[in-house]
Amino acid sequence: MDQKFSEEVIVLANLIDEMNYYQVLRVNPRASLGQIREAYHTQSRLYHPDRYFNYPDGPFKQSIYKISKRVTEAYVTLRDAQKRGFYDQQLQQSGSQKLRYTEQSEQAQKKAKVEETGKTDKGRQLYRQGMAEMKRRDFVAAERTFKMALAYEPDSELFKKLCEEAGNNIKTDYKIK
Amino acid sequence: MPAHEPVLGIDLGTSYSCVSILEDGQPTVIPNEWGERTQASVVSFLNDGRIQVGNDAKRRLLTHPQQTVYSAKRLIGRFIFSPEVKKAKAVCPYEIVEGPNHGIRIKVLGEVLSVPQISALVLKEMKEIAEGYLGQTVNKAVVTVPAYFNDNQRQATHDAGRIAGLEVLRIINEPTAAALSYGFGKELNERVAVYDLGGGTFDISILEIGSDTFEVIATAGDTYLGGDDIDMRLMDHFAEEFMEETGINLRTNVNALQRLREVAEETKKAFSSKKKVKVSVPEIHTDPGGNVYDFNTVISSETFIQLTMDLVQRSFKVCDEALQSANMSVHDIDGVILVGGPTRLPLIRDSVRHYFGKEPLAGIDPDEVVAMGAAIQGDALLDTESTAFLLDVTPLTLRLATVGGYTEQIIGRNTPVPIDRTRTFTTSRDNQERVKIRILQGESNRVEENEMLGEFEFAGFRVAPRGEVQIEVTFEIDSNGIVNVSARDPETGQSASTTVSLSSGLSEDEIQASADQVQAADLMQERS
Repeated sequence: MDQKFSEEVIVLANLIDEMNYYQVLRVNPRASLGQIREAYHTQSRLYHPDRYFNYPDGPFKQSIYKISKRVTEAYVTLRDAQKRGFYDQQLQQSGSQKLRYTEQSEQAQKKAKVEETGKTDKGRQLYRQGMAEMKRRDFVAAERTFKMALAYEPDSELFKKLCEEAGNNIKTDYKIK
Repeated sequence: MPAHEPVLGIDLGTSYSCVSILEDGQPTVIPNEWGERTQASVVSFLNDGRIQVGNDAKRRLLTHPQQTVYSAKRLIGRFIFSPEVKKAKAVCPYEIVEGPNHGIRIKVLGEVLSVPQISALVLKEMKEIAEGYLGQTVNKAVVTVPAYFNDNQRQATHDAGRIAGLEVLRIINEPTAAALSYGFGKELNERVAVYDLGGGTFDISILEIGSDTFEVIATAGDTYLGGDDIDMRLMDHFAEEFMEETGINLRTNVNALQRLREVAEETKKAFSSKKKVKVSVPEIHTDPGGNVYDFNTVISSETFIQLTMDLVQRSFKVCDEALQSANMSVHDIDGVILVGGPTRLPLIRDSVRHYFGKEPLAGIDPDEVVAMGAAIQGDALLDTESTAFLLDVTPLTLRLATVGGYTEQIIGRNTPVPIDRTRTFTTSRDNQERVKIRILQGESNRVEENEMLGEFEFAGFRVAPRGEVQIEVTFEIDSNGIVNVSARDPETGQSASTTVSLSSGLSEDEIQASADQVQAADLMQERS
């Protein structure tokens, strides 16, 4: 095996804790699911431990193992739309380079799941109605519905965001006409 | 000449085992001296201390049922209170006793043996068959397990290899091995489902095969469902019929039951090509008055289907689960690979064709394909030029026991391996010296509904007021699907010592002692 690759692997293993999942997989943050999967294969082709099974135990092999586990972790998180959504949010908030999908992310996700559909019965009902209206591109109705939902749950970030989104879409539709 | 030493691919099955090796880049199944390509996973202990393994040992099931151990794979890595063990205790003529930590031991001729020790004797036989064929000693192997095997079962299989004197390079999943054997070197780009109904277990795996990648998308299984269960249904049916005719209960007669078991297996196999099977067992029972009874009957394939349809249906529930996990429907599957002897039955083939809406792939030997895949993987691991690689998944969710009998997920099922996950724990008492955690595998929130892997105790970290010491615990699932747990103090970087208890596995001393015993054992080669 070439010396250069061996050195690169050891350096990469030391740096990988400072990298986010997109950097680990070497993909664009807007990469599609297919591209992420392709990247997982490409990175596995390079760093899969089975390819170096016969090599003596030591820093090189340990580094390969560390990298491959992180590649898998990146893939597991980014291939799941929900996990990826939360990961992206975290990434934005922290503005930092590193970041792993942790138990905190999972708890945040659980909490958000409760908020996702609203805290009150009326809020949840209006949420469903509004989402259905969004789906059939009736943004005028959707904006009205989410405004109503906000009346029940004035603190809901989700309803604020949806209200805004529906409003923006009304303008877009108008422009297209 | 290959560039590296030979590696065996061993399919260690519930009923039969098969050994293969790569020759000139092609996997070859190695037959025994008599040309038999699969060997019964049966170990028989003779009164003079000799041990017989394989198809000859199977014949001794009838003559020496208490000394002949079969279907050890159904017991491997399980606890004594497991439902499977209770079932085995009810039907097995050999004696199953409790070992340390609720483990299982088998008592034969006054000697107590562990289950991995029995499996090691089967592995040793496979090793000797290969050595006889190659004319050299072989020390390395890749051994297969059902995809749905949990960590305890994988560990125990790995131990069996060590006891047999084999360095187990890798434990691979049977359906994955089958897919490897099917797709190796073919430059494919397709999605396949591997329907693997063995003697004692059922697995379904969905894979995407690329030019050099074999990626498992999802796997599901039932380690309580196999061809043995079909035999059991037939056996029960025969016993019932005999009871109706004569009023005699054969279920209490160990020898009669063994004969019925054998006849049941033959009857099942006969249904691969027949619509009606004539069954005749002369002198099955002698009553206290000295009257001798024969058992004669004819069974139609309709009756056979009625007796076993629910078992077949159960396998498709598992298929539903796997497809759902993979986010796919049957229409997304390009090909279906059938693995395991029972898939030769028209009943199974027809049901599979109906479920997947396509003809299963032809030209694949369901008894040999797994061993061949293991041989390919063994070669790929040692060959530095090899480019193909497997991306497999863990079949069960790894869990941590929390308070009140509940559990928390650490690594979800169908997560690709190798992978690790780190959790931070803090001490809850002042000057606490140890932290204990319990690890489980399964899909339930409740502790008791999961399989217990063990209790880990960490010590050797700083002693300080509660909440001040943090212990970072890393849970890792390696490429064998085996779970490793390690802990360290993130502040000092010092790793904590780890003690595992409550595990069903063997201690290092037991493994060493068994290894000496098994490796010294002389396996009978002559045929009577």
